[in-house]
Amino acid sequence: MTSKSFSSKGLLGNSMRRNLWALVLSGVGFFMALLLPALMTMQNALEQRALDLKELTQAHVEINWQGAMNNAASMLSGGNLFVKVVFIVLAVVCGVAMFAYLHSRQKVDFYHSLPISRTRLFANNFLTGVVCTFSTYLVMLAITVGCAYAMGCGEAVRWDEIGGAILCNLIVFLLIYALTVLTTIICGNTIITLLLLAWVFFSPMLVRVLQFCLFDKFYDTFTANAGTLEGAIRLTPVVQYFVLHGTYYIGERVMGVPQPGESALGLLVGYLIAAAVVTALALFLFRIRKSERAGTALAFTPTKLPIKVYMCLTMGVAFGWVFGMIAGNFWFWPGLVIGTVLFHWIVEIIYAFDFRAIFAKPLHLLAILVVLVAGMLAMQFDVTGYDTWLPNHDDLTAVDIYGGSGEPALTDPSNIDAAHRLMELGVQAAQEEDTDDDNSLSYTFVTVNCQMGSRTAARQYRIPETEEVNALLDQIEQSEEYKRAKWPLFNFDTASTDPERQPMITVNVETADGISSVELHQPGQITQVIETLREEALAETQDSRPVMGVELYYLDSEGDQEYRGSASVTEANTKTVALIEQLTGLTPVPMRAEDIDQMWIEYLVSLSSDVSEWQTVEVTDPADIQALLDNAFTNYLTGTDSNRYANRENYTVDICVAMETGEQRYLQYLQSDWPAEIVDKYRPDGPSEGAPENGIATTAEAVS
Amino acid sequence: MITAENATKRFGDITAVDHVCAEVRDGSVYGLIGSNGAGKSTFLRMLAGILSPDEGAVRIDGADIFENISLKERFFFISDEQYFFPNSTPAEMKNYYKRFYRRFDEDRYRKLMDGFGLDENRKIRTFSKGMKKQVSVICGLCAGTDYLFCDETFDGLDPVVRQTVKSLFAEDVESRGLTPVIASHNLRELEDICDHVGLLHRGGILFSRDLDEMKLGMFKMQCIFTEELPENAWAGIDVMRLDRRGSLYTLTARGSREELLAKVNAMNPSFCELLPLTLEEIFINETEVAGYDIKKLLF
Repeated sequence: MTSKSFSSKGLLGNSMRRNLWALVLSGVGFFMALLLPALMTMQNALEQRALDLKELTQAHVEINWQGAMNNAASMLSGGNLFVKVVFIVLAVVCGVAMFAYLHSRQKVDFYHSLPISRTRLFANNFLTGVVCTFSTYLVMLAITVGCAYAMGCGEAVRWDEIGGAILCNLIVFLLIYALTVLTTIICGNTIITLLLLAWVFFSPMLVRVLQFCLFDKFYDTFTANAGTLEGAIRLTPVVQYFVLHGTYYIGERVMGVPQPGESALGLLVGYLIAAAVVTALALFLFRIRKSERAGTALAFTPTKLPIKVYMCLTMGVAFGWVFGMIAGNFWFWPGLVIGTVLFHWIVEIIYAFDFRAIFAKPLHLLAILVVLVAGMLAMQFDVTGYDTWLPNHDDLTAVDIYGGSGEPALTDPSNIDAAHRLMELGVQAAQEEDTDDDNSLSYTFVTVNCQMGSRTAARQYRIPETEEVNALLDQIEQSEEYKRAKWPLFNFDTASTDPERQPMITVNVETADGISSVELHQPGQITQVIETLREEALAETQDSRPVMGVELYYLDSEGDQEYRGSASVTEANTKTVALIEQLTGLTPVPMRAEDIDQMWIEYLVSLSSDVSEWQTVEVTDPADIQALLDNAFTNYLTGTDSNRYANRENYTVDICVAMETGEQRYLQYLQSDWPAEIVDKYRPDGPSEGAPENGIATTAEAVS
Repeated sequence: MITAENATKRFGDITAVDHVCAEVRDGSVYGLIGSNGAGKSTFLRMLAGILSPDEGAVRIDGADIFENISLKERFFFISDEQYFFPNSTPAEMKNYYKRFYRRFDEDRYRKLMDGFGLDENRKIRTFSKGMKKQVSVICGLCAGTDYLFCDETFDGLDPVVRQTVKSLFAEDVESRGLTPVIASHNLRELEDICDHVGLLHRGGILFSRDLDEMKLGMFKMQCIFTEELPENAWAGIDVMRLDRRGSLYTLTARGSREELLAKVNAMNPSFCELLPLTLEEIFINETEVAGYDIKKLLF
């Protein structure tokens, strides 16, 4: 028999009246975060427009007005960071407050003796927090929109963006709120709840970062790429929230205002499902939670050990890492032990609310330490075979070399074959690395990203630079697929009609007077140059020396440049060279010895296993200077589209010139043109010997 | 009827209630007494459905109480530390309780509030401890439930209010068959209201009896003998306790009223009368018989 007078609606209303503070808090929060900034932005836009009308042309007035309205629209939608902060604060405050009664025996006795089921009590408390927060937000949003229309700023009201922002705010709020409620139910004390909540919110990212650090420390083939932390950020909604713009990820900024980028609907659906799962779990735990656990650290005894182990392992590694960073590799191990022991003590003291529990559960501590040290040793000795892992060739669906963000883009079977072979050579090199005792080999670093169905993996290899390796790299880099996917030249939109993305190119040419630069703004000319260069670049199958450099930009309506990369025009791109000469009047001239004031070579010399120093040797022999200039090109002409330049003996050598004009340049060479003999000739014998036999002075700068 | 069958509740290593068996008949007034920490509150919290027994069962009319909403509508729990919403008034608390107890008697609530001189629109946080107890008792009585669970409810009430509350309880027992279960560490508070008493000690129940049943075969007599009595003068009487002050003898003895009077009168007292036994005296006698010292258990 249930009470006929009982109704969920009435109870919810009563609950909201009793939690008036939540309505007031969210009202004040959204007033400060939404209404006030939006009013300020719109008022500012109106005042600026009045000034602009007196001083600027109509076109500029419109541009400025549009920018101001973009800004106001951002305030009303997903670009408003203040609103996100308020939602996070309210999710935490309301989530804790609505269920904090579970931490007080007096309140538990009151609520749990009432004839109301736990499920209804949960629903009532849960909904109270949601309704208090969200109703106030919607009211304040409606008022803000009304103000926008009333002030004549209706252009700032973009319903699609506002709808997206409402959806995003609701879903992220629900997830953070559900996590807070779950944590509050798990805990028996409000302070412990807040501590555990901070752990729940941020530990996924901390764990991921620590994993990143450990892999970097122990695995030779580990490589960082932009996607490594993405998963961890997704598991940290309080951080991920700030890179969302409604139902999109935050994209590029236009006039300082972040714009919607890639769709985030998948993430939001995931968050919604997670919120539902967390809420269901919270309800389940709420129903089985024992009333007598009020006032204890954790309401569910079985959760004590896993939480302690998780904290001790994480903080042990964190301490080890910090100690290692501060005092060297040896201190990683003492740090590991100190962090684990310290946090075991802290957790046991908190669990017992008694300082005397500091030495409780010594066997747990010992077991955690054993597991942790065993795990670290397993990584150190690569028990899992991380460094020797090779994907099954048939499983590879796409590959990429030299890293970069996003999924691997090369799907051509020949590129996949080449990448797989590079990985085989890399693994082989890793296993044979110790045999190169005299450091006689030159190495190249190759990063390979692999996609195997929905799974991706990446490894970085240090491979001896052999003909086979160079041929494999050339094969991939010279493929049309690679060029189209990786070169900025092929991703530059020459036909853009967006006033905020107008294409512009700068051509750098080595002339008799030094580097000359000319900007091309006319869309027709730009398209002509880019199309010609694309055509020739695709046809090019062998490396050739750059003679011109083309920098790619987008210009916004205020003339601000956005750099989009650069491309080199090589000797082989004869049509492009001729076209640029025709359009700019610039003709490339090779560097001449007489234009050079000084030439020197910088060597990175090892002093010990940890310390190296750069030593500089001046080149004075005119024949050597001419020889070094013969196949050289300057860094102004190299593009971001290629990795085919000589790696300068593993980046331990720099050849530099100072021109008569005072300008300094670094010289680059094709892999096949590297002047190894001359570089060897000038190589210092050792760090303590001031000058080689030719009497050239050296200077040194220590690098550790 | 409320029944507890081997009801056990443990808090970690502590067994707060240890295999308690008890029966509370409908329409009776059940007193639950015991020293601090005896397990009274825990047992009452099990009756109120707040705690679930770790072992055994606590039932009303054969149905488990824990999370049983229809059963929970039949009782009202007055905790020893009552909770009121922050800044709430008695009227707001009454309105809240009305949502859950459909037989809540609002007229009676008003009458009792007036009777106790409480302002229903004054914030409860400004009330004294006793006044807060009164608000709880009034809400509990007006909820119209079959059972009323009171944890140290008389603690903090002044003697007049205490008597009034007892009268109200008695009135409800009489008029609508209310069954109050009252936990207290003070025997004297329960003696004039309870008709059944359970004694808890260290989580276990020492005994549970009807007061009438206990009183039935036990009497207290005061007699004056002008002449010295022989040593075996009381041999024919089942004396449980005997005190002598000069010629005045005070004894507690088992047997029927008539039998005892006849035996004592046969000893030619100059004065003899039967006195009512206090609950404390009954307990002292019962527990001594059971091998316990009540003074150590309760005081």
